[in-house]
Amino acid sequence: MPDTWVETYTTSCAAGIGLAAVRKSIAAGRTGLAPGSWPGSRVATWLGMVPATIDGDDWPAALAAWDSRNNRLAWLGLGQDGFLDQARAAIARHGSARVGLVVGTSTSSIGRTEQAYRELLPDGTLAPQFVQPTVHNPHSTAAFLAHVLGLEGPVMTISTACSSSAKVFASAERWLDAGLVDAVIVGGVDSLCHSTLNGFDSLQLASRNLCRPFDAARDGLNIGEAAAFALLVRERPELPWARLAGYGETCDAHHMSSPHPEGLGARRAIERALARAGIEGRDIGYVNLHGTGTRTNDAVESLAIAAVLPPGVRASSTKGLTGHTLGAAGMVEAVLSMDVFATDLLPANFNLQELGADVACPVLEENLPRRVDFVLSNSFGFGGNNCVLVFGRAA
Amino acid sequence: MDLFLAPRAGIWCRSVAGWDAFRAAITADAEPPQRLPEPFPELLPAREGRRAPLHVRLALEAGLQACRTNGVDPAQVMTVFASAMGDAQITEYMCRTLAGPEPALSPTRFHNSVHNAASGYWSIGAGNRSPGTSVAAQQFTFPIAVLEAAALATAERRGVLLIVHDVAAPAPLDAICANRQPFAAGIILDATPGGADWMPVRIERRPPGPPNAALGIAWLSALAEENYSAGGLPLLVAMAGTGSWPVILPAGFSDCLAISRRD
Repeated sequence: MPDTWVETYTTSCAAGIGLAAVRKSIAAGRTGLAPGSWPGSRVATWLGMVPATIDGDDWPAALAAWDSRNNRLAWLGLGQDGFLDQARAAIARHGSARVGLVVGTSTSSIGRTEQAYRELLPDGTLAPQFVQPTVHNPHSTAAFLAHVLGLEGPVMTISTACSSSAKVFASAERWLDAGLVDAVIVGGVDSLCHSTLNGFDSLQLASRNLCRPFDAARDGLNIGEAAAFALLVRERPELPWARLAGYGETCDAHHMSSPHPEGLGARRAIERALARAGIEGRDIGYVNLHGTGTRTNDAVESLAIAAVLPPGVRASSTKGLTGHTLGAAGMVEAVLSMDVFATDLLPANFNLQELGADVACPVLEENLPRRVDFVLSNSFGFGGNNCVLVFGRAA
Repeated sequence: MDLFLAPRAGIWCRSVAGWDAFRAAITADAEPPQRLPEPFPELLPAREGRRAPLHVRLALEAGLQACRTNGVDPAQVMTVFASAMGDAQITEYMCRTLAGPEPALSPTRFHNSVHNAASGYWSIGAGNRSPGTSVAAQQFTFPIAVLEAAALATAERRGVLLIVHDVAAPAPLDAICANRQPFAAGIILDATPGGADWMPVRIERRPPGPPNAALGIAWLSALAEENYSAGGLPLLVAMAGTGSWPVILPAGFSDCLAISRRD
């Protein structure tokens, strides 16, 4: 099959709005996480909130039907790093019917639905401003983006919890291979809300402290929010930013909210991604780990890494920088992985003080300047859903 | 994309369960009068089966029917689960609880709230470690899921089980979606035929035009109006030999999906 090129990408998250700000946070070793609680929530934790006001009164009246924090965050993210202009140029070049859109999300606009329930009318019905059929469903953000971009190609939402927006790359490549479209805009958008905060708190997976993936003292995750996008094309752009080299998708067949104890599903996904890329484990110059900061997940992931990749592998979790952005995590971390080709800087495993005794693979204690040719990114979700991506330097 | 469609679909709605019952029921203009008890598919051990939400059980029931009637192994087939609204009953539970005075969520209901809950239960129940996904596209959920399943079967040269499932939306969510009754269906696509009766089909995008998918069966038309997942009924009716090919479904505001026979 011909190559799938990444023409451009962007990310906005707690660590910064747009690539320049995120790169600055990484270089300075500055986390985007902060202690605090979500407005109206009793869950005391650290949060990865985007450093921008997106809930102001300046949302265009013409888009009132689409109003939600998730869609506002999507619009903010789309506008960074010239991504919107390049997406529009691709739509003009190929025709609006030849460009597809695949968005990964776990929250979609559920935050807006929560608000609608808080403000129900006395008779129990939705107040008029919340009667938004396009918003209160999993497809909200993909439909919103297709609307504002004027897309006429296929538009799909993938929602497989925390692997959602890694899987968008696999689907997009298949759509390109099948000749359904000439370009695909892929994205991951998840926003802070009560459902995920209370939900992870109920599972005792949300930390009261700053999350510390792979640390001996790690005690849970911090939830973050993000909007990140990439433009995938079949025809080689003049200056591609990266190449999608491979992907591997598996299911654990083990448990709804705990990984397979030996990381079997994760391991098979890594093996499939490497096989599809036609490379060996020793060719991987950097691994962006899923690394949520929960006791079990990090230990199990390290077993999978140790089983498949060489002992000297260079790996880090960036969730101590961004928080766990759930449905957006796959895309955020795909971008941070690919961006290593631009910065020649492997990001440190944020907030690490002492590596856990139960961690079977090394993680980067400091940022490491290094030019690499292949990067690998892990994403694992509830339901035992795994997706691993491999990107290559465009060269 | 040139593929093979397994000849029998899995189906569950309030009055019809299974392919043979469906074929018999579509010769009548009126819906069968019986109201079936909720399905408890054998794929799940009894304890989990009782605890799994209806949204999940519907999907597993339709998927298991499709595998069994077509001789496909539930442990090996790749899966695409699709639901326009996800589990609206859990959405209602979570949003109402979170808006109330004691916003503590049940951990089980929280992990069941993920859109891929049915995919997860299928993987666990069938021991299936193959690629599995879970997608949504509101009123276009069925055709977009067909596109996804067809692209997956084409890329991997293996069988894909596609399951669409939606439950009735409780108030007040019934004000923002069409789902009024439960429906689930399962179809199987493969790059190679699993038997002599598998249908060679071509699945492709078509420019917008008038859809040809008038069902012509009153009670099925009503069902299609009351569940986004039932948008796939024109294909099921064509598979049953009652409807016409090609099946052309709106797959977006300016896009159609065509499923044609190649024989």
